[in-house]
Amino acid sequence: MDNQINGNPTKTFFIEMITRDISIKDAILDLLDNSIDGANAINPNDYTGLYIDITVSNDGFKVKDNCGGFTLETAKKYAFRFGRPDEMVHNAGSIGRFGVGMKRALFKMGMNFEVESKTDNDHFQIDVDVSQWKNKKKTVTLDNDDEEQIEIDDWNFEYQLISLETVNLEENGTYIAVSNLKKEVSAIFSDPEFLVELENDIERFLNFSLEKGLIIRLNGKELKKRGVVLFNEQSKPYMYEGIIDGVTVRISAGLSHVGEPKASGWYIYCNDRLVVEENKYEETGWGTSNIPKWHPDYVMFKGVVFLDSEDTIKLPLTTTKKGIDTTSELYKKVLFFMREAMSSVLGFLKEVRKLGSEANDYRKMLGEQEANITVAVLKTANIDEERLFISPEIDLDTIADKKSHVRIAYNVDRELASKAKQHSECSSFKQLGEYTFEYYLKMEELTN
Amino acid sequence: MNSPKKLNYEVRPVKFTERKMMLAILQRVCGYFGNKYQYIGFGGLTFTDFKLFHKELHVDEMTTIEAGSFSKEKIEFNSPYSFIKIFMEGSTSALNKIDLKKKSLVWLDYDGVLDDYMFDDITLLFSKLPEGSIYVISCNKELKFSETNTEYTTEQFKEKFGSLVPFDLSNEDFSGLNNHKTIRKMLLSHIQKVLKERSGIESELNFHQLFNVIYRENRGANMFTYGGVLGGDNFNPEELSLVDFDFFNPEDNAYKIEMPNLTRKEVELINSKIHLKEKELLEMNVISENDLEKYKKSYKYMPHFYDIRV
Repeated sequence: MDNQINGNPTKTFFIEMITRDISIKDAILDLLDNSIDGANAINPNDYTGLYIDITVSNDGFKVKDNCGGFTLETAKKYAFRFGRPDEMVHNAGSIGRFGVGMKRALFKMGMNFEVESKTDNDHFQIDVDVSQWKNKKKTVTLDNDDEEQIEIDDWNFEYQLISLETVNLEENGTYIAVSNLKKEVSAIFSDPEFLVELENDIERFLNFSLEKGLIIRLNGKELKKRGVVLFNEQSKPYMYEGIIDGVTVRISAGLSHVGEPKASGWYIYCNDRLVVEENKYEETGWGTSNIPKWHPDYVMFKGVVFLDSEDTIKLPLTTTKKGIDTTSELYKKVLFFMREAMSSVLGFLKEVRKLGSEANDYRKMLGEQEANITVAVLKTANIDEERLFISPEIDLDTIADKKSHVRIAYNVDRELASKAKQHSECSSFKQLGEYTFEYYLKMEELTN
Repeated sequence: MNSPKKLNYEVRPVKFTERKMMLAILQRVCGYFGNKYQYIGFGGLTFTDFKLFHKELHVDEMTTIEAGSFSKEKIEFNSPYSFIKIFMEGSTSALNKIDLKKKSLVWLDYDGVLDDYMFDDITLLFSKLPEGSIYVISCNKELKFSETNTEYTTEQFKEKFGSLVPFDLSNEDFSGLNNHKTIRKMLLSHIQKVLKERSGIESELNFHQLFNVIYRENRGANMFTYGGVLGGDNFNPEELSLVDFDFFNPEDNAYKIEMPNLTRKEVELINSKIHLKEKELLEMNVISENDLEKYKKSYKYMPHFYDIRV
C-alpha cells in the first residue's frame, strides 16, 4: 500500500465546504422543504391540518412537523448520506434532490443535533455530537495478502429507537433540534431583524404551500400567505401549458397592481417552491432580443412559471434552490414562451405609456376595476385560450389627443413680456404665449 | 396609420405600383400553399389593399387594425366588406387577440419610422404563424426618433433597440444609402432568432425573403418594404419561378421603385416603341433614357389617373 495516496476527504474539510455557500435563512428553508416533501406525499393538493413549528432562539433551533416523517430505511439509505445515491427512487414532486439539504443545515447551525422521526412503522432518533463525530474512526481490514488493518474515518451516524423519556412527537412527523449553536449563528439568532427577514422569506418562498393550507408558525406566530396576483377580468393573462422534456410547464403572465414596483417581474416555481422572484434581468428575458430592459413603465408586468416534474433532477434548479440553471435546454425552450408572453404584455404597456401624464391614473384605475387571480389558482385554472393575452381597453381618444398636441416653452425677458401682456390685454403669461402663437399663425396664413 | 389624413392612399402612384408588384408575387406564393389565407393589415380609410387581396387572392377573412384617431364609426362606414373585423388599438395589442395559428398574409404598413414595438409584433407573429404564412412590413426607412424627428446617434440607437442592434453598427449605417440595410439586418436577425427558439418546440420553419423594396412617394417619405414567406423543410422557393419578376428580391440590396414623369401622350409613344424600337425612340429626343428605364421597370403595374366627374 506504499504507492497509495490518501484521497479521502476529511470530515472537517467536508463540513467546511458544504456549509460555506449557504446562508442561515436558506439552510432553514432547506429543512422546511423536507417537511413540505412529506406533506406532498400525504396529499399533493391540500395541506390542511398539517403544520410546521419553528423555534429560533439564541441557544437553540427547533423544527417540529406532523408531515408524515421518514422511515428508518430512508434514514439508513438516504437521509443521512452525503449526496444522493444514484439508485434512489425519486419522491414524486419533491424539491430536495441533492441529498445535502438537511445535513448542510444542521452542520451549519450547531455542534449538537437531534433528529427524531415517526411513521406508521418506525419511531427513532439520531443524536449527533459533531466534535465526536468528526474524530470518529473505524478499523478495517484490507483485502490484500497481509490482511493489514488500518484506521479510517468513520462517516456513519447511529440511531436509537425511541424511549419514553426522549419522545418529542405524538403524530407522524419529524422533530429536529440543534443545540450548542455556533457563535456566529447564535449572534444571528439573537438579532431581532433576523426573525423579520426569516418570516418574510418563508412567507414568500413557501407561499404556495401556505396557500394549500399548511400552517407554519415561527416562534408561535402564524405566518401569512403572500403571493403574486394577476388581473383577471377585463384583461386575461397569457396562459400556456405543455410538457417539455418531461417537465410540465405552465406559464402565465399579465398585469398586476402598481403599488410595489419591486414586486414586478418574473416568478418561477419548481414543484411549487419559489426559486426565482421579482426577476427583471436577462435570465428571464429582460433586455434581450425585442424585450426591453425593465423600466417603471412596465411596473404592472408580472409573470409566473410553474415547472413540475416527478423526476426532480429534470428541473433546471441550482443547488441552492435560489435560481434557475439558465443554460439548460429545457429553460431555453421555456424562455421562448416567456418572451412571447412579455412581447404581448409589454406591447400593451408601451401603449399605456403613450397616455403621458395620465398613464399613472389609468394604471391605478385598471387595478380598481379588476378581479385578482392568485398563484394557486393560476396553477390549476382551465386555459380557455392558449397563448393569448387579452389587454383591457385603452381610451384611444385620450392618446390621440396627446399625440396631436405639443407643448411649446421658452424663456423671454420679463419686462418685455409684461409689456406684451399688457398690450395684448392677456391676463396671464400662459395666455400671452397662446395669443402670440395664434397671432403668428393668423399673420402668416398658416391656420387650417 | 395617420397618413390617410394627408393623402388619399388610392392616388399614390408609387404605393399603388408597389402593391401591384407584391400582388404578382403573392399570387404565386399563395397559389403554391393552397387553401385559404386570412389577411391582417392596416386598412386605413380606403382599404385599398383589402379590396385588392379580396378580389385577386380571394381572401375573405380579413382584419384591420386601426390605432389612429379616426372614430370606429368612420372606419366601419368606410370598410368595403362586412366581413372585415376591426380592431381599434395598437398593432401589438390587436395581434394578441387574433388567431395567428391560421395561415396568414400579414402586411403591417406602419406609417412611422422603425420603432421597438414592431419587433414585439414580429415575436408574436413568428411564434405562431404556420407554414405558408407571409409577413410584410413597411415603414419609413429613416432612422429617427419618432417623437422629435431627429436622427439617432449610435449610442441612442443602441439604447433604444438594445440587443436588436447589429454588433458592428457604425455611423454610416444611418445614411440614406444604408439605413434600409440596417433595418433589414435587424428585422431578419430577429425573425430568425424567434424561429430558432421556436424550433426547439415544434418542427423548424424558415423565412424566405420575397420583398426588399425602397421607394419615395412624390416629395413624400422614403419608405422601405420588407417581407417573406415561412416555409418548412420541404419548401423550395425556386419552384415558384419568382425570378420571372425583376422586383422579386431575395438579396441584401433593395429594389428601388421609381416612377417616370410622363404625359399621357408620352406614355402612348413609349408603348408604341418599347423593346423593339427604343433606339429610334430616344433619337426623337422626347423621352430621356432615364425615364425610359424607369418606365420599363414599372409600366406593367403603374396606375393612370384621370379626372372624372363624381
